[in-house]
Amino acid sequence: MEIRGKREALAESFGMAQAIATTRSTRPVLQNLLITATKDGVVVSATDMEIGLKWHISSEDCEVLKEGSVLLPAARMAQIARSLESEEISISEGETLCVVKGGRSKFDVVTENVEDFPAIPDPPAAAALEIDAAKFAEMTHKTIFASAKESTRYALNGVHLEVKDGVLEMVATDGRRMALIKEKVGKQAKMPAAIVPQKALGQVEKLKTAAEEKLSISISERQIFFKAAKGLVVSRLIEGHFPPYGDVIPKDNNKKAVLSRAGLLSAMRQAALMTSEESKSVLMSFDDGELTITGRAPDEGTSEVKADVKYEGDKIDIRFNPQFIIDCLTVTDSEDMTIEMKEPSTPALIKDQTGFLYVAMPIHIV
Amino acid sequence: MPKVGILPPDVAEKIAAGEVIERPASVVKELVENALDAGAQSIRVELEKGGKTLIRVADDGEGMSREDLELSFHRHATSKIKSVDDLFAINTMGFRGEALASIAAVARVRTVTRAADDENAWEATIEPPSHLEIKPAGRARGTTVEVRDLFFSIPARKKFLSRDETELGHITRYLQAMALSFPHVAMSLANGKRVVFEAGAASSVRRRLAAFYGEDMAEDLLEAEGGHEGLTVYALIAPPFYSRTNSYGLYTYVNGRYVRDRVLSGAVSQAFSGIMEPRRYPVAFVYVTIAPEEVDVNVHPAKMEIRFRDSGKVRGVVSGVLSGALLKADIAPRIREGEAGGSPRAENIYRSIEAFYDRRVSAGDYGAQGWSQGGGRFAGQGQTGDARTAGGEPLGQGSLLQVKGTYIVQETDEGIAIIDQHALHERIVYADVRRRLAEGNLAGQRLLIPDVVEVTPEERLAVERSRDLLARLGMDAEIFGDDTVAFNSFPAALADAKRDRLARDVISDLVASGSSRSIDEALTAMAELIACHAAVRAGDALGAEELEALLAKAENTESRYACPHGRPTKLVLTFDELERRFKRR
Ligand SMILES: Nc1ncnc2c1ncn2[C@@H]1O[C@H](COP(=O)(O)OP(=O)(O)OP(=O)(O)O)[C@@H](O)[C@H]1O
Ligand SMILES: [Mg+2]
Repeated sequence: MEIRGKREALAESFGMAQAIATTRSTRPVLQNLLITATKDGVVVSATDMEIGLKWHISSEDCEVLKEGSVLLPAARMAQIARSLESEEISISEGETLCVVKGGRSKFDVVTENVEDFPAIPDPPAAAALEIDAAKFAEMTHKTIFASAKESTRYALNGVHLEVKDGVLEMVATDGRRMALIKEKVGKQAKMPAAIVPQKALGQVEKLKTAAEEKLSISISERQIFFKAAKGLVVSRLIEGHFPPYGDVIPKDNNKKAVLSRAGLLSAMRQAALMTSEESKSVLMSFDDGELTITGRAPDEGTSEVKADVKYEGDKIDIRFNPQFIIDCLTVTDSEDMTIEMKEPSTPALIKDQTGFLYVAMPIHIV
Repeated sequence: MPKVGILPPDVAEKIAAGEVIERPASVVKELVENALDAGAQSIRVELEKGGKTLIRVADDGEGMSREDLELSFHRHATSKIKSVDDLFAINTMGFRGEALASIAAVARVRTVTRAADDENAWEATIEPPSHLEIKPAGRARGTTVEVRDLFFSIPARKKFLSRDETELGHITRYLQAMALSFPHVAMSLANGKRVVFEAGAASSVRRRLAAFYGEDMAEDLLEAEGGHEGLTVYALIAPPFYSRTNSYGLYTYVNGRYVRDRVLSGAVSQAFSGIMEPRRYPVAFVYVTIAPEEVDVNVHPAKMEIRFRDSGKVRGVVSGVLSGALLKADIAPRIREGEAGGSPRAENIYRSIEAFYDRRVSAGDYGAQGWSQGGGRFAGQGQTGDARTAGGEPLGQGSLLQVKGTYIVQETDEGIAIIDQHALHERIVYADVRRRLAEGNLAGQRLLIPDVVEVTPEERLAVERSRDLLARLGMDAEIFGDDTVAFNSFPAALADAKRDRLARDVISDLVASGSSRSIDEALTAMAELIACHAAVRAGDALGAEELEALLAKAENTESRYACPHGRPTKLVLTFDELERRFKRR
């Protein structure tokens, strides 16, 4: 195999591969990336057996001089491509070594046996749905932060995707708060519910290279495929039951407050300065036209921050982990937010102006 | 020809004598053992007031003839052994001929029984001191024994009985233990109108365990089987994830008998050593079958203790079989290396620290020559506000180092401090929790969907009687049906992932402690558990900012809230000591 291509393009693809290749030593072959050169072009792949990547480098960016494939250490290749200063890099396969050249530098890199590298599956012929890649990235951004980090209930560690009546719904929850976003994808879209690992979605975001690019999503038995012009991300689905999230969204919250997103964010951040790491909570008191947020850090002091609010109705005191509120305010850029509440111990529903829904569970002291 | 005979005095005097009946659970134990010895396929236990006013045990076993019934209440009357030799090869639960006599001496007893080949059933009533009456009655094959008003004639003993729930707890524990040994026998327990459990005949131990612990755990159990020279071991072991803070989850059996035995529990810990975190205990069910001659059950009147003839061998075989299964299953936790662990610098420091530990321990000069224990040190700094502001000052790059994701190494004015991050954080959280409890109740983070924990009947009872206590701690627990508890909220201090384990540990602590604790003792124990779970773990990699925040926090933690487990949180290697060791002086 022999290829010659733009350093930047190769560095980009190796970087993508490195993010996926594992550093765990349990299966050393997975620390590698695979370069496949055919008459159709160059593909760089990597997998950790959970997630797989196939990255296509266009013939403009990389020229195939001799077809074939090589397996090379991902981290090393990414470093080399990053640090070379030449415009171009060439990679050619020898007996046991692969020669990487750029400018006046040359590296002899030990290759691994290509046969040992697991095959990365191709997506099924028909895609379940197509969506604007930027839109999908936005939906990911608005949900992924709410998923659990290392819950023993594995389903919560992912983001739930489902198409209902031509609408794609993405939901994530860690059991204490939940983020939900919907987007029309057209009646013809059909896809079974799937729970996608956070790491995979992080990779999908990187697939988007051009504006107005389409992302096509398809599902086979236990895998989900995200395909864009530049490449493909495959991920194993998380097995398990996702909580019935529809039931969790409060329907009869009758205390409604409307406030400026930036104002609330700033007030919340200030109030949170005086809370203790061990039991972070702030008290939000909604009264006619005024919201007071108070915090307290034992032995250190207290905070009291006021903000304007459109609120009528009985006064309500409700306590939250300030981070939960800050999180949902930072993923959207709506001007105003709506908070609907009922009681200090029941879920609050927070909405932006674009249909983003967020359910936050309060902290309650009996 | 009656089956029951009176043991001759030479046999009788060799039997471990002493208190047989201590509390309602002892009565239940004796009656259930009799039913099992009689070959019952179904045993029903009914209680009133935790057994204090009524215990009724009904079986469908072989029953007794009129003569046997009459004899059964005599001391040393038994059908199970005849000679001294039999004492050394016991294969029944009972053998002393003591139980019914002892019960009849301290309570009002009524027995109705019918032997398989008898047309009639017989009813005996007996009241202390020993007025026996027998008359014909009606009943299908089997025996029902009713014991009323335990200790009614001995007020001094009666006074020592605990609250109904506590007695019920003991009985539940015992009966569950027996149910796990005799899966084919249907068993049920009710207290008043309330059914505590109803376990139908099961096809295997695993199926029976599912009835008590839920399908999830039953499925996760690892099977271990093996043996050596007439000793066989069968065990079902829960993966370390299910571990508890006490040894309550360990059930050991010898020839079907539920026993509490050092040799066996020692063998289990040996098998788990290196797999289990310190201060945690496995959940495991271990069944040993051994030739009756090889084990002496005639050690203690309660028959819960045993003595193996060759305890070394038993220990070796049991731990061998268990560790074999554990190794194959590959459940040993992998030590996660912290970020800093990999760099050569960290490696070096780690190694030299280790070397110091070695020397310190071998030389036995702990604390004496410059290593000082940091118990009160943080507080000392904070309170006196003197020049040694090691943890508080903004620290330059590199002066804080996390080693092995577990220890924090810090340069101080005096020398080098090594801090156990978990111990330190645990202490900080504990202090915070105690302070909040002193002010009122803990804040509970409510959950969108409650966390559901499968529980045994014994555990459910424990949660039920502790709901108020749990609410004070921010844990809103609700009983769902027979075998599940739902938690609607958890202490707000707790990180996301740790709810499962906290719930399990809290429940197992509640079970183990019964209702003997004062509220304050219980709150202290719970505060410790919460602190332990809310604290960062050994192995959690921390960023520079987190490290600094942790140390700064330590400044404000008062020393009167000593580290919950009394372990030191910090060791200091002074410059004096360094210079001495490097022979600069
Ligand atoms: N449920 C029962 N069904 C049939 N026979 C019974 C039953 N309970 C007791 N017996 C008979 O009564 C005898 C005396 O019972 P008891 O429990 O007092 O002594 P044991 O079981 O022989 O010895 P231990 O004192 O160790 O229990 C037993 O040996 C048995 O023959
Ligand atoms: Mg008996």
